[in-house]
Amino acid sequence: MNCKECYRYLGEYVDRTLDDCALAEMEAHIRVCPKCASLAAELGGVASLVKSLDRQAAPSGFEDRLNAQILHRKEEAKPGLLRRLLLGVPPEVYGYRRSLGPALATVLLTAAVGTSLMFTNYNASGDAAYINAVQQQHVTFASANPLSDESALILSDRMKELNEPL
Amino acid sequence: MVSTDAILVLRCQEDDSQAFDEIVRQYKDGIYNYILRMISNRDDAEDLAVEVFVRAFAAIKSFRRDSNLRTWLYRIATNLCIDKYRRYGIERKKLVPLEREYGDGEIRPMDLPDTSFDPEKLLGQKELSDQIHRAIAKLPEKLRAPILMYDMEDMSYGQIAEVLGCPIGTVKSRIFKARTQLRRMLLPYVQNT
Repeated sequence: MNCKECYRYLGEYVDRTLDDCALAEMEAHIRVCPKCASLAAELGGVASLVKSLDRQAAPSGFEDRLNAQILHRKEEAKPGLLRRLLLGVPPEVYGYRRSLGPALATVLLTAAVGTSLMFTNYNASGDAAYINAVQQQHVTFASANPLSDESALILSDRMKELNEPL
Repeated sequence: MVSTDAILVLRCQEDDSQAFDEIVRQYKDGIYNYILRMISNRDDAEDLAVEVFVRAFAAIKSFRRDSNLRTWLYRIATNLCIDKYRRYGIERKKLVPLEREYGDGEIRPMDLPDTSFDPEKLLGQKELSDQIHRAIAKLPEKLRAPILMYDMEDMSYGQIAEVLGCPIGTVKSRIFKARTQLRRMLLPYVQNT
């Protein structure tokens, strides 16, 4: 193994992840090459320094902040009424998609049936009564006011002519 | 054999809220430490660590059971760190707000490494770890993430490759480059370890 090959495997040598064969070759080279030996030692030193850094624990109250944030996001994710009606509730709110589509369909169907029943009743009884009332009003009006009836006007003119002296 | 993580994920997917609490307990320190070392700001690190678990909570239903929970959480954390850099245009040099208290009682940003220090005396002391932290913070993020995961979070090359979405060879190469750059920055300390 030469220095160039050694350099290529230096990272794995420092991490002790080389297979036995490559490791033996590296060690043989490093024994005879002070430059590579020095570099390997320094890179190993770097790894040791980084590993020696203290692990910082999450601040106290981390879980409380997290739970508050999750609740907040759930509230934010709750859609408006129209969106809930049309698209349903997104899964991140309840954990699964809860659609209000069936409820909306029921409401619309009920409204349609109710309206149609209302019109059916009107035609059956209300409309007939209304027509009768209008006809009755017309007859009453016509008999009470002869001027409103063309035939009565003609008759009236004819009577005037007959009554006029010759 | 089904791992503990896989069981926890399964329980979460069956609406067991205690399982998610267990995941948080298990990973919060590692994730917080990783983000803190990535962005060097305690407040932002806590915000981002919270955000990691909020996103995990929202997406755990769709988590594929053949995936690795740990690498998934670290991938979320890494992406959040990168987003933070990009969104705010933070430069690496500005991300070193480590401070120390000087003799006059004033807290000021730390000076650059003083090579007259006796490394042996510093070893194990806070100042040395601050110097190491500063040096890591100066690394490009693509080198910083793998070396932190390898040396601090004890992750394997394969796990890091999964987190970063790159080949194992790239991970090895980046760790090596990171160490080479750190060696230059920390030479006085490295030569005495």
